[in-house]
Amino acid sequence: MTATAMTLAGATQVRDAMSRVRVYLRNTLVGRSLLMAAATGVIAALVVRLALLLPIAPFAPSHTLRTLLSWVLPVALATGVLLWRFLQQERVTPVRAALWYEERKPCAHAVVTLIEQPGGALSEQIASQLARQAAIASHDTLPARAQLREARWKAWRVPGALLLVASMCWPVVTAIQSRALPSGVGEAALSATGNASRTGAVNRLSDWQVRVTPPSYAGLPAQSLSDVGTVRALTGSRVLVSGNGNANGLSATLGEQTLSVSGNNGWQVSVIMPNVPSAVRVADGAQSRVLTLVPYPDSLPQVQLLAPLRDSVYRDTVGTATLSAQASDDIGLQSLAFEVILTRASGEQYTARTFTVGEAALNGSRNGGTRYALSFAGLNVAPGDVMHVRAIARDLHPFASREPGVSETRSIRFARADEYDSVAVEAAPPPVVDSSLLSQRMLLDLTEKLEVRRPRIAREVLVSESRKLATEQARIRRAVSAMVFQRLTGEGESEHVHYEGDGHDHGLTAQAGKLVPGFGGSGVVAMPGAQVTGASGQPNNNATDESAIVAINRPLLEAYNAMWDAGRALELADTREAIPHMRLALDAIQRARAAERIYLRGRVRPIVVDLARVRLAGKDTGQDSRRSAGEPLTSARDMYGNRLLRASEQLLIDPVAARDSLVALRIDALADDAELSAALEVVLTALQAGNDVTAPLVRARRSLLRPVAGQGVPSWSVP
Amino acid sequence: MSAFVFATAQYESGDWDSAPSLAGNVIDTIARYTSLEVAPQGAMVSLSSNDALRYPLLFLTGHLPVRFTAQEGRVLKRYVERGGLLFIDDHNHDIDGAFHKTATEEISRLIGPLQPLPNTHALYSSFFKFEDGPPTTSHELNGWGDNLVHEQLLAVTRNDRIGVLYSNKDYSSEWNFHPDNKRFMGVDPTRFAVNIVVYALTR
Repeated sequence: MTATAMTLAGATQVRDAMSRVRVYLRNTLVGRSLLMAAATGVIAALVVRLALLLPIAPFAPSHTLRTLLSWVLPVALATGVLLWRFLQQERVTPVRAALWYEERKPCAHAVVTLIEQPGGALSEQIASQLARQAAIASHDTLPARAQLREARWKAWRVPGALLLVASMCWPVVTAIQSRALPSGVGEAALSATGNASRTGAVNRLSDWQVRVTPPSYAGLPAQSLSDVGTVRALTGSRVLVSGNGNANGLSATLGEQTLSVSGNNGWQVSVIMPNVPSAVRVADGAQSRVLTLVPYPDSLPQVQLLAPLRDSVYRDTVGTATLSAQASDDIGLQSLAFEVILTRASGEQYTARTFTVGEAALNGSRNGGTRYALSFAGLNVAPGDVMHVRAIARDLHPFASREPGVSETRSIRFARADEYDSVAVEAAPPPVVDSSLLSQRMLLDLTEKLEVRRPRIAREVLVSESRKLATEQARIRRAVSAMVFQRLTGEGESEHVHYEGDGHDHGLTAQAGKLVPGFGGSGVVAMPGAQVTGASGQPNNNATDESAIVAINRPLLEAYNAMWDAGRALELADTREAIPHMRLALDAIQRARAAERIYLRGRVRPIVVDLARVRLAGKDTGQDSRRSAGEPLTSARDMYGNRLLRASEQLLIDPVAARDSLVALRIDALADDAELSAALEVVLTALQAGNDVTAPLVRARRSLLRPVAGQGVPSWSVP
Repeated sequence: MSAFVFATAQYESGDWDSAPSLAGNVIDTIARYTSLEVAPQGAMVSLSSNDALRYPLLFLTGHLPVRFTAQEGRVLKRYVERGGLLFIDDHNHDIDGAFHKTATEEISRLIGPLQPLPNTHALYSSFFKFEDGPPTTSHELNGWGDNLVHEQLLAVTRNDRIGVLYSNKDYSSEWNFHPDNKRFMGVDPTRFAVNIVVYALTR
């Protein structure tokens, strides 16, 4: 081998050695960074978990904050440390590795030059020197390895120690955290997440015993239940909860009510079963446990009145009525009887008498019946009395205020003596207008017919019928007179006149029973063509004697006077004489009807119809206001679903709060969702037992998602 | 097409304006039940003017005797011959009254004798169905006027079409209520006016 070749081989050997040193140093630094990051993360997690156990009231971290602090914060810190190390430390280049080597082996002072210079650029002298360095490097590597290990130890020992200590503290902190949670719940929560580790913590709330003693009147046996979360019992039952350990530090509540906890060799809590679902919470420091109370009530007796079957009316007040009834109860019946209310009313007097008959003792049997023959004579009933009968049954409930069970009420009425002889009188319609009244035209027709019959009838008949016509004629005349005087003076009286100087002159005077314009009066108005018949029956042409009022009523006055003449003739049974006067009267009436009338009206106001309003088109632009259907109210089932979902999520973070939420949800669901309540009972039982609650929660969720029957047939159905 | 205008005929004699609220109620009824283009305000047209020829339906009413002037007679005769429909209603509801006597006499003299209109006439089914002929009015049923329920209307026909329709039923009183009172009525009494208007516009 030539000197040059030896030189090149030595240089290559030095470069390979430096490369190994560089890799070693780089791995050392990476490992140091990882150890520092891991130690930071573990220490941060331990600190957070310990901090969350501290009771820092009123601060109560939420679920999100707990998650953030427990997991996200340690991971973020570890990542931050890793990034900081990566960015801060310089890269281990071959030159830096050579310098690190030269610093620890001064004899290898040419290594840096050899690394920096490429192979062809070295002189012979340097190459020879490098050859020697190569020999040294190849034969003296052990001290370099020791120094490398020492450097790695120095770099790793501090973060490694921190990580080791933190890892050793982790089980301790976990144990502390587990002890802070109630037994079973925490395990269940962990098991629900798939972590099957169990702490095995023991406390006074585990394995409690529940003894249920029903009310004495019910006659039901007492029950002993072990470690249950739900008790179903008759309302009023005594529920005794007992557990291990003394009662010091234990507290119990029933809703807002505080219960006393007693006992030294085992604590006890006693509560009376309320009439609504409730929960008893027993707390031991930070731990608590809930017992759900599900009451069922003592039902009222069911009573049925078998006889009489329907309301009746008795004609007589003698005899008997058979009463029959039966009853049933869920606990037991005490008695069954008939309650009779006898009422008697006459005019303003009203009396009522209540009494009980036919009472039968049923001695606690669940079913029973009774019959009784009710004698009317013994009751001294009278016609018109009403008897109301119903059956009443009392159960074994001892309270005096306990309501009895009652049947329907039947009424027995005793008819009055005159009840069947009375005649129902319907209210008569209002009287119609007297349509028998004859008009002047009809009266004239009748008179003319009578005149035709006159030769063929007897005088007495003629006089009789003629006087009837005269009476009708007088009626019409008085009607005309009333009209005239009403129009003259506003007075209602007819056929009255006044005399000169009496101070009440309305222009009429009486002459032989007729009305003629009188007194030569004031306010004379000349009416062209005016004709008023005078006392002689001739038209009165003395128009200058007429008042304005008389002039207006002149046709009626003429009719009045003609009727007077006609009536007088009819009274004399002289129909032939009466007919001309009657015709004259009719013509005068027709003239009065056709007389000119004065209408005092204002100008006709034009009416403009709002067509848009009539056609319901409105006055706006035709754009109706937009309306959208309101959001449907959240159904109880949806609310239950939301509460169940929140409780399920909370189960992973705060099992105690989640358990309480599930208990509260179950109590609410007891009233209206039996299926959900039953499913939640399974969840709570599994939670208490430390079992996996995933499947029970799924079943509870599915109970809320059960299909709802809709109206009508589906669209794909064949109608 | 111009909107329908409900026109009330003015004449020299009598009280042609005795039912001032009737026009508004009829217009309201037409707008309420039909989709006819109708003017929101009625018109009052003198029978002595050829303006009367512009309206397909003329309403004439009153209490007092009716005596048409020569000019009114000419316009009225021409109106009917040209296809107009004159609807006359006796506001007295009295066959023995002055309006009835004079109006029927004038119509008979100018246009022709009034004949009873069968209750099966197309007028009674032109829009609403009136199985029993002309609807009765409360004035008939209450015994006012002549105390008669007039079973039929009278009419003068020209070319198988009503030229003059005459009523003794006193629709002038029946339809002359205050407009605000229509909402309180169980049955709108002015429905028959729709038939008359639709008949006048379509026959």
